[in-house]
Amino acid sequence: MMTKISVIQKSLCFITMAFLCVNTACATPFPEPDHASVPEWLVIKNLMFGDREIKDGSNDVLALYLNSKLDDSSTVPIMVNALMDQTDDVFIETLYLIIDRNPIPTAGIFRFHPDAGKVKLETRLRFEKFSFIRAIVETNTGELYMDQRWVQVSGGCSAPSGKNADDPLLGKMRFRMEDQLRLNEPNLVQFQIKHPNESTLASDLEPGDSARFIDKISVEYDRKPIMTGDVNFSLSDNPIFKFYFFPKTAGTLSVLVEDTHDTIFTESMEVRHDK
Amino acid sequence: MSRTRSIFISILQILLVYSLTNRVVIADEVVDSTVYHVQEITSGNFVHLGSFPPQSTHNHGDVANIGFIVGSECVAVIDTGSSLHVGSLLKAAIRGVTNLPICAVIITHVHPDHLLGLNAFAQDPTVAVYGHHRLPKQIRLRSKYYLEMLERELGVDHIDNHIIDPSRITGVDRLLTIDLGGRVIEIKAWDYAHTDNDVTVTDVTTGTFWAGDLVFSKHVPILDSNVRQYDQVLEELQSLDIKHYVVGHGPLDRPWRDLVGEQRRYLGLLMKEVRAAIDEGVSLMDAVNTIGWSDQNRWFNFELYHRRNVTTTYTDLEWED
Repeated sequence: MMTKISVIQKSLCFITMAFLCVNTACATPFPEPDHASVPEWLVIKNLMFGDREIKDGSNDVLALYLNSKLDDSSTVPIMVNALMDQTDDVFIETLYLIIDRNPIPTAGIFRFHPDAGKVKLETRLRFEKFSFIRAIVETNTGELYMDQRWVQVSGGCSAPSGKNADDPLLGKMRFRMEDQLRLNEPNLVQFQIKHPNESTLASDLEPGDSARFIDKISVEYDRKPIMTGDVNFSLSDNPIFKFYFFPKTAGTLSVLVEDTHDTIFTESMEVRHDK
Repeated sequence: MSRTRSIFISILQILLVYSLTNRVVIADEVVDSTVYHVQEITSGNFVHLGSFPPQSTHNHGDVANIGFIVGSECVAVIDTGSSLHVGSLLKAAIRGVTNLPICAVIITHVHPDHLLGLNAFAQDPTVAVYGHHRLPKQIRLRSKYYLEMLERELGVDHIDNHIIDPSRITGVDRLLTIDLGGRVIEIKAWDYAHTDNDVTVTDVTTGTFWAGDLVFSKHVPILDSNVRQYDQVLEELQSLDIKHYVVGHGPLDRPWRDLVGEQRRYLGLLMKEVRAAIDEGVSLMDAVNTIGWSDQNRWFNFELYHRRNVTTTYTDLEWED
């Protein structure tokens, strides 16, 4: 049996549809604005850097990488590579990650020690609205350099992931090293931690409770600092950090993470040199 | 017809439809009108097949397969479409079949293309609304975002009418049966699968299985929960002897076990390639562009959802011991 009801269902020609999407890039194309004149950025720039000059660093100082097609605004992988070496004379001291239109635009402020070898950072971020992301580095000589990308995904802070938020493994941590340890040169290592990194926009909180997210990470090798980061829920849940360290001998890589509920997580890894 | 005139007429028609929310405009001779079909796939089980593939610009959010089951005393609705507009079309289709009261609405999971037409039914306090016990929480978490999307993507300008009251949902923990009069239906709540709040409905009389989005047909499966647990659920579903079924998206013409098997093959491919990538130190950034793309031409909407599926799989499996 077939029931047929005729209705007016004329198309809405001008509306694109990708309606199944769950915190995905389901939006209509939006032209990339001029990055230098975004109103939010002008405010952030003034607050953070005053009238200091921020130079284009994309040719010889740093490169910011993102995929051109992004589908999950709560988990956007990014990579920042320094194009200059860390030397005793000139080195990158601070890396700022800024997402102009996130609830907390400063997604992370990372400080690198000159002994850390090369500067590189890979992590995953949330994007609440279409926005520029900016990677700005500050050298020990006080100069600022920027590279930026226009990102067209939204909802990453307000739409929670479907992952198991009641995960019993909160605070589980893991290091990953790709290669065997090489002494006296930069070695890449990834640190990851199980943490909901709750967004204040998405949490199902009782009145009086506050969102629980990671606000600090610090990494040491044999008790000498490699990197520290002031972060927030602009980082994805279960965040990862991939960076270089520069071992001169076998030793201990250790990480300390703090969250907004005053919980401290620590993990360390003995790094051996088998040669 | 000139383009200007055509646009003018569409706007008029849209205004007409939206000015009659909760009543459906029935007009047989409208230029370029399409029809709203429901078909009776088994005795008393009526399905409307959503527009497919769904990223059409012409479908008003009518993208999911939704429908209803008619007993001798009342009607149970299964999913409500992505807007009041779609929900109202379904309600009118029910009235085209029977005048029995609607006693139950079952929401198979939180996604907006199944949920946001609910108020076309739920404004009547005699209608019970059922969903997974985790559904109310997910509605609280997601509805602001979904309503903004409704406004942005579908151009619905009175989204307040679409606000879902989570307290309206009667949560199902495991299994719940409802008697529609001479016809019992079973609502089963699953654990982490397509989402963390999937329920399925079985019409015991005909054996018709309403799978919601646990199973996709020709449309690329979407992962919004945990891939390993989802595959376990699919393994269980595949073992069921199901002759008649409704899935959330796509045609209903293939044998059940083939359909579920094809979906498990895709998830298996994802898990296998993601595990290999993690072992080799391939980053998530690169993995979304390289993993599973051999399946690209097997599914509709692959380009839209596959990268996200890789992300969901990768961010789970990178924690495997």
